[in-house]
Amino acid sequence: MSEILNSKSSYCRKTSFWRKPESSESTRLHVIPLDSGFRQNDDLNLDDDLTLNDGLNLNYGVSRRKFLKQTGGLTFCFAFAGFFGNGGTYAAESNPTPGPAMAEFNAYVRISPDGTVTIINPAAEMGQGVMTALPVIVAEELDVEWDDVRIESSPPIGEVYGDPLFFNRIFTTSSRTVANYYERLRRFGRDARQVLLENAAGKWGVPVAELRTAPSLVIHDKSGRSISYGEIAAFAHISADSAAPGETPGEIGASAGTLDNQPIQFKARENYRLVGRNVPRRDLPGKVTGTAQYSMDARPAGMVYAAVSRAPVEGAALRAVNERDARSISGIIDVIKRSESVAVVATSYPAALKARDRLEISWHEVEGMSHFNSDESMQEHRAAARDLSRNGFPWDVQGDITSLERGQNALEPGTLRDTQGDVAAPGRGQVALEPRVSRDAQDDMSTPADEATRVCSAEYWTDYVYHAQMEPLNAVVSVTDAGKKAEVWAGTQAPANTVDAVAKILDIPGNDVKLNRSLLGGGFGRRTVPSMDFVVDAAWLSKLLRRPVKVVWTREDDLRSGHLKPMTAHFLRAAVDDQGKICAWQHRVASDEAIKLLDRPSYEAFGKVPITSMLGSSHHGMDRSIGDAYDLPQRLVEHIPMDTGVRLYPVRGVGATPNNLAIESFLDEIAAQRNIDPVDLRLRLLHKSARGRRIIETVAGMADWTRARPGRALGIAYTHYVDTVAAAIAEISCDHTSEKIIVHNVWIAADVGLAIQPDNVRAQLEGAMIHGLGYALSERVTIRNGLIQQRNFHDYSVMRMADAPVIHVELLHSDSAPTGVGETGSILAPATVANAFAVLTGKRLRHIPFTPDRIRQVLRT
Amino acid sequence: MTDKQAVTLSINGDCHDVLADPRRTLLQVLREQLSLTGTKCGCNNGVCGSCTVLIDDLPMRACLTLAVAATDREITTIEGLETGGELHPVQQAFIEYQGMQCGFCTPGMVIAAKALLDRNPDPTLDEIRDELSGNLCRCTGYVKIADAVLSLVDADRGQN
Repeated sequence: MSEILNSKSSYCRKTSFWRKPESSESTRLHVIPLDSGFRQNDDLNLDDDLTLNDGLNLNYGVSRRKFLKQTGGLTFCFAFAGFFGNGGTYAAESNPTPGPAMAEFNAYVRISPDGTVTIINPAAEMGQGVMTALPVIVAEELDVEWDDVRIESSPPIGEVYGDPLFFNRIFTTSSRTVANYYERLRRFGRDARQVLLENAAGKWGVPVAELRTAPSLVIHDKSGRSISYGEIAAFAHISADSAAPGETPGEIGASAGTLDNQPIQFKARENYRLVGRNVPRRDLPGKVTGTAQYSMDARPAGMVYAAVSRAPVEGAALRAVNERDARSISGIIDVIKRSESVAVVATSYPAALKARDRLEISWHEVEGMSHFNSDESMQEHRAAARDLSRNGFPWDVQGDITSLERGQNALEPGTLRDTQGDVAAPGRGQVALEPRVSRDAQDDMSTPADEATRVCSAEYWTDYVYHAQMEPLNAVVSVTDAGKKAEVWAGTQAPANTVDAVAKILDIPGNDVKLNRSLLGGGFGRRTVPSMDFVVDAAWLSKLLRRPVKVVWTREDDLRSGHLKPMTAHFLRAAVDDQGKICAWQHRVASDEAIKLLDRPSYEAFGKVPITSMLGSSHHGMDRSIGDAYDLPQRLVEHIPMDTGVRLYPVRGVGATPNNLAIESFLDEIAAQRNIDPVDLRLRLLHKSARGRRIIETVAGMADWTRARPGRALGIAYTHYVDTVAAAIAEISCDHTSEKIIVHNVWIAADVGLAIQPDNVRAQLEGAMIHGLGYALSERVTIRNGLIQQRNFHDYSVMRMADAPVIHVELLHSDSAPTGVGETGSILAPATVANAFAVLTGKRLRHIPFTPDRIRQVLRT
Repeated sequence: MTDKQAVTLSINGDCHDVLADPRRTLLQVLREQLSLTGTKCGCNNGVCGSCTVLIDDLPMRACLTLAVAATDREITTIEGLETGGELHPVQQAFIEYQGMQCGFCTPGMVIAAKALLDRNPDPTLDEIRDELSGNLCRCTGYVKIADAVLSLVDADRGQN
């Protein structure tokens, strides 16, 4: 059974962040119009006989093999279900001149006659190691010698290289890269190997079943013959000449027919040579020698520099500029203005900066924002979270929580009374434990009624934080052909967004924007923003000046234009019986939704729900079964939207960091009130998840949980974010002179499914843990009159090496598919510290970051 | 006031004559005038360490050092650590222990680690952590960086 789709439209799968595409949907795609901007080439009509996969149960369907005879080479194309049509185009562009015959597999793999196997990496390499991890997946199933592999970045063609979860955009975010590409890439590797086997079989006149592969070789044991992949690529090219010349696609491999009629086996895991074996990352040598190229290092001939002042708050328009003093600076070329930015262009970057310092710029006020103060907004967030008369957006609802209402007295004034200021004040937010008062037998259907059931409540708060990637944002753009074409050098997590933004500001088609995908000096989410605010200035300036322009933000610019992680206020209630069983659970999250203002297309595509704010707050798995979540059958998790107008955006950990702080802190408070060990409470709540219990037991064992350690204390937290089941324990002490928390050790246990690159997984867990400890202890952005107050790393402090704990990681392997690990540590960190501090001091820290002033306040209560 | 000045810089064993504004930092001259872009600019404020270079074997912030102040001194940047096509042992250790992720802080971190080991071939873990604390890394957990440096200490001990 096959189906024909029309490729003239762009297709994508509408799916939730949480739900994997179901296999039954694999040949049926929900259609959502996408913005154009992907490179299109209508000369190729691969759609004319596209067949969707019908025999294999695919999540990301790979159709039958396709090949295309083109001038100068042979292109094999494995067309995707629903996102096809340009793979062959790209392959042709990449090899435009006749040269050595080259068999090109699906534009993810090219094998040249010299045996070089080029694997295309679609994802952005920002230090997380995907430019190696993804090709390793292909190379394992293709059974290629790793030394034969070359790695290339893909072009920004979403239809071929994009992630269905993100509407077929290349979108390297959300800890999803390895997990989301895994199935597709291993099928590519497997099917490409099958093509090689079939061609060897055809040449030798033997059945495919008699052949096997060794790295980069096909072997026929019966006759003792072997042939290299390179040799096959050369002759496969010749045999495919029987296809009609020109652009007519056809199928090959009919000699064996195994691909379409029988499932092809994947390699058995015990035979893996690459996956799970820590293949050296290909990006490292250049990084230790200084030859690695970031966009900041790009220097096209004739390039000039621009220092740009951008609108200080979102939507502010330029009012006036006094540029007289600036123009006196030597080396200045021009001062150029737009409504949202003022640029000083000069022959050197220092000259541009110096001249910019002499500009006097004023901006129009933006109603609301120009007088926005984060301290006041936090008070509003808190009030909204606590105001039970204000219904939130119901994010995760199950059963009923009416037993909470019978404990209204728990919310008596005094317990949760608010005060001014933003540091935790005496008596605020403490857990209130009151006996249930209103007893009505008829109301007691949902939860067991007994005198000992009590309602607890508590609050937790998180401040704005900033991405703080080490490379200040920058881009180089060269506009040529009288403004009709552009070449871009940029480190981007969302290449199509970059191409789209440049095309839009230049008013040219996306086809005419060439993007050089640089390495990223860190990303953490910032480099996906659709406005591409760090790229577009170079584009319009280059168009005006008719020469390449480099715009480099200073660290101060980078902070001032920071797209912050939203502040949050959490109000939680739970009805707890005398056995410590949680009979009802309510979690109210008051925050902005991070993508609502600055990634409107995604916000709308995801159904206008608080998608990033509420990550990590649900008590079910990605398939909506309980999965590895806590068993909280009666629950209401809701979002109270704040809509402040502040520039916000997802930052590593997104909503999961604050939500984990709230959930895991609250559980420890409940455990303390009921004299239950925090580990035991979590084991009880995970009674339906063997994976979860195993992780808790493992991490408790690693940390020697029950051992007393004078002057120090342990705190635990657990998460099942993006299917990775993980727990961490922090060991802390408190320096009573500096009132600083010292984190001595952190133990992390994680079940990540199949670990493609285990050391790299550990590196991600460790790095994210340090990132999250920054959230816990020091990272904080404040806003006054709409302006971000912090300037540079002296007042926005990320964790330094001397303050970093020793981190111990244990990976628990399982046979399931790989899961995401990029954010796990950053999610767990704050709650582990808060819980350890409560054990150490008997006081509860509720507001990250736990700065010395907040610690002092809490200790004095 | 904007007169440029002839400056002779000895960098990685080569002499470079450049004409530079006397207020130009060494970092700006390295990156923009000499195309030695391995040295990175993360804060331009002396707080992140990405621009660390050796000046007469001492680790210095290139963003806080005026180019003119570096004349007649021996400057070593990340591009100058290899000898005869061989990576420096610190570079090799950073690869072997995967002591980096995005790599932006790495040139400064490698230079700082080399300076530490040159001065103190046998540092303790705490000494390593203290000495390298001027160099920010946003990606790693610092664990693998410390492991890389410690591996060189252990190697030295083994030889002794």
